[in-house]
Amino acid sequence: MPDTATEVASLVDKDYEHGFVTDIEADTVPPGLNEDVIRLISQKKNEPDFMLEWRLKAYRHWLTLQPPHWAHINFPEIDYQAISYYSAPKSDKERPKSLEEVDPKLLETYEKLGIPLEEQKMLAGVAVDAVFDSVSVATTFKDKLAKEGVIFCAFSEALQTHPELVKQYLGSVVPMTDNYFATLNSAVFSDGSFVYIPKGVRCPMELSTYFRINASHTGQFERTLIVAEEGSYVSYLEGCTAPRRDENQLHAAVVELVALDNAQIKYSTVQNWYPGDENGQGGIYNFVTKRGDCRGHHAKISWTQVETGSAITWKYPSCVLTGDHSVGEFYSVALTHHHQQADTGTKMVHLGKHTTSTIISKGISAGQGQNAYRGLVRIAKQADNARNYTQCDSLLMGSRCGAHTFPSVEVKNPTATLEHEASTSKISDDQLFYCLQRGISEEDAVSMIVNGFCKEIFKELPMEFAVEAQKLLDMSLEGAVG
Amino acid sequence: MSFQTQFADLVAIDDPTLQQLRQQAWEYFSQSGFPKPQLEHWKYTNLRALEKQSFVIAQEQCMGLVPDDLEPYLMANTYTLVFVNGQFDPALSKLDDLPKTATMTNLASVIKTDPQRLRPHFAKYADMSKAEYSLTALNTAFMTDGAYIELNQEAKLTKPIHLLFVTTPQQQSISTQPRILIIVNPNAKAKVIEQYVSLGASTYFTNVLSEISLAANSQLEHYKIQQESDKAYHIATMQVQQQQGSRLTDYRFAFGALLARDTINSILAGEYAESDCSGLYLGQKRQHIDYHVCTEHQQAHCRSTQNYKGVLMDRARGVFNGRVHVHPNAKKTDSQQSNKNLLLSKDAEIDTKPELEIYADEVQCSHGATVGQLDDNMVFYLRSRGLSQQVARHLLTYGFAKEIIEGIDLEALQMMLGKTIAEKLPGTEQLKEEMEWEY
Repeated sequence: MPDTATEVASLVDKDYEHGFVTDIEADTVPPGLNEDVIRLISQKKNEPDFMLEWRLKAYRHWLTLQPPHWAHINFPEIDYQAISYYSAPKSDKERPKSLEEVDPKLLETYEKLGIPLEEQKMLAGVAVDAVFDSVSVATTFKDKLAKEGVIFCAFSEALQTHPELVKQYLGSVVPMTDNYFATLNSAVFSDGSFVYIPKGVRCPMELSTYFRINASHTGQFERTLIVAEEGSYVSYLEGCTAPRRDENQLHAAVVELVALDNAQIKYSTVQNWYPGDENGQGGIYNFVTKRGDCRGHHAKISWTQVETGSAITWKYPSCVLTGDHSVGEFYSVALTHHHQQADTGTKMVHLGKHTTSTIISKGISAGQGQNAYRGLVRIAKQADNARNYTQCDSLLMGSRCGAHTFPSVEVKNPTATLEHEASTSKISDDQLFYCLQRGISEEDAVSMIVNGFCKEIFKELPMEFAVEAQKLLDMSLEGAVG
Repeated sequence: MSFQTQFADLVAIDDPTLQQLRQQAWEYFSQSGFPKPQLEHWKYTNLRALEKQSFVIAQEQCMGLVPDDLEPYLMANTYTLVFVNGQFDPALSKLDDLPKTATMTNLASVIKTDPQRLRPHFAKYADMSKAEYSLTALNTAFMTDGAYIELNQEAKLTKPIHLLFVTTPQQQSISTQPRILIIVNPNAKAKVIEQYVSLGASTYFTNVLSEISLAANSQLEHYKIQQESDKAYHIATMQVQQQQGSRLTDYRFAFGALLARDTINSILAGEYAESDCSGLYLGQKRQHIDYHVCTEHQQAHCRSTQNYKGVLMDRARGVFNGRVHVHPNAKKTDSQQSNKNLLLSKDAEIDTKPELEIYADEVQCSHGATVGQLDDNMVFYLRSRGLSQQVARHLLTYGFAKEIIEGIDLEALQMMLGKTIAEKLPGTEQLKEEMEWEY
């Protein structure tokens, strides 16, 4: 197989399809970070006082922190003073009332991405809160959701309309002092989504946000907060693409989920940001803090992620299983190609009795990609009869990539049952030969095998997302195997 | 007395190279001190309690020990080197009819008479510059004695070598820094049993460092049995360098000590080298037992296994960290790692971290870790056949632990270990009464 590497090399590396910059005048704060900038952000968004205080407190704490270095990734030091912390499309003041009023250039952008809003609306019945850089420009399906009492809006809007809810839940899962990047986000977060599902409501549609990083030099600091009240259900989709850029861009988002008694939250991500070129130039730094708290009994939080983009992915969607009988799940496919680096995994913290968690992680490394799974399963002393199953599989393609597994298990209760399994292998010559002798091209064969490898995860994704994920994987793997 | 004052009081070694090494080691240690929990490798093992104690470097060996005192530990049909409080005791050792093809002696005598001989291997493998290995530096700074074993090319020993380290109760808490160097030259084959025992229930600190060099196609079976006193601190570091086609089998058993930490680093530096490491830790009362095992696959076609089991009772805490590092050109690596733990009490704790770091693509690597308790169905099965709860649990736990000793091909040792394990587990008395069965 290695012999054919050069032949296939010619097929290698289709350019990043979604690399383009939409030329819209943006209202951007000059680069730099200080208390004035934070006041300015807060003022521009017309935020209540408690929010500003919260931001400043986070900022002051952030100043005392050192950037962490423990992850299995390499990147140059980030100059936080060179980043602009706020960017909103100019048309902000005259908010569009319907899609027709949306800046046609924006719509064009979405069309290029293959996700035109109108089509999306009809096709999938998905309400899209499209975030273009930092401010929401189009929010759809609001009425239908409002009828059920579901609140699905931009974070800044929620601060105006439901400040008490935001105040109650913000920072209750990821405290502002949680870690370096979460603290930074707490200080400067620009916008994001806010979802509130009232008691007993099953959200009638899948909620979805497509957001892109657009303006140059603008770090995007998303903040998402989802609260599912007693007995409710919501499925939330997050998908990202970003235009091509030669400079690294920092993306430090925070996602907080709160599930009360019998509530269920399903959070799916397809991440396809610009990974940098084949020489490792450029690409997005994706340093995200995602955490869900199963606060009530029988609550369930499920994370599904497909990570194919970003130069560096550094994130651990986690579950804190506080309520008795609560359930945490983590399904992940992470693909690294060229010089991409991923250090991802999850934390399952079992605090309640009879809590269960499942972790299934699939890592694929190609080219010079480095892919690490880092996980923690902690069973607290009072968590009787906790159960965890962890499986991490890695697939290696090419002799210069790496696959690493760093699972931690901490058990303080003897009634816990834990299993951890991991394997690492390459695509076997037998599998490949079998496909080839049936007339399937090598490229297709590899794609087939990889898709089979990831099938367990894809079946957890909502249907239209699964299709996209599969496509992404194929695209990202092009030329990976020879 | 602090280590600092004691270092100043040390008698200089005549050999300038070694004296310089010692000085260097002390500098490393004084810079970093005892490893702190902030270091990833010491995250779960806090040495604060050890650091707070003051230890005296054992100078004089305890005179007047007679072979009868060691009776329970001596093994028939072995070459035996006995070290009392860190120093070699020729009277208690048994080194009759030594084969000409091998050297077995104490390190102090080699340092004194032929330091040149140490040059190629001594302190060449174990890293002491990093903060996490500061105890290696401490050992190097204070090394006085230990074992020196060298097998000539093609040498095949018929009898195993037994290294017995005995600590006797002293007025003050003592620290010993034994050092072991094992050199197995091409095609040679040896079995070494390393055993740590205490003749009293005193507090002391053993900090042992072993360096092992396995030349091409050589073989070493290594057994380490740790039976220190309940109040002792035991730190052991073993660094193995393996050349082409060499084979290491390492078994280790942690029964004693208040705090025990074993670090095993084996480097497969030649193709077709094999490393099989396995071990068992039985934690009782407030014991803290930590195993850190790292296998580095630097070359292609190597094979390694790590198989560790733990049984934790009372308030004991177990820590396991297994690492397999496959370097970019280590093609066709085959590596398996397993860590299984039984928690038998609600206050026991286990922290396990089985890690893989892989930079090559044509590899087969797998790892697994489990934490659990005894299966109720199995207990029920035995109870339905008339066994009491205690006996049923005892037998099942013993069965779990026994797997580790099954591969040992020294029958006497295997039986001794089986007995020791069984006696450590609860329910032995009932077993005797109910079943009239003794191990």
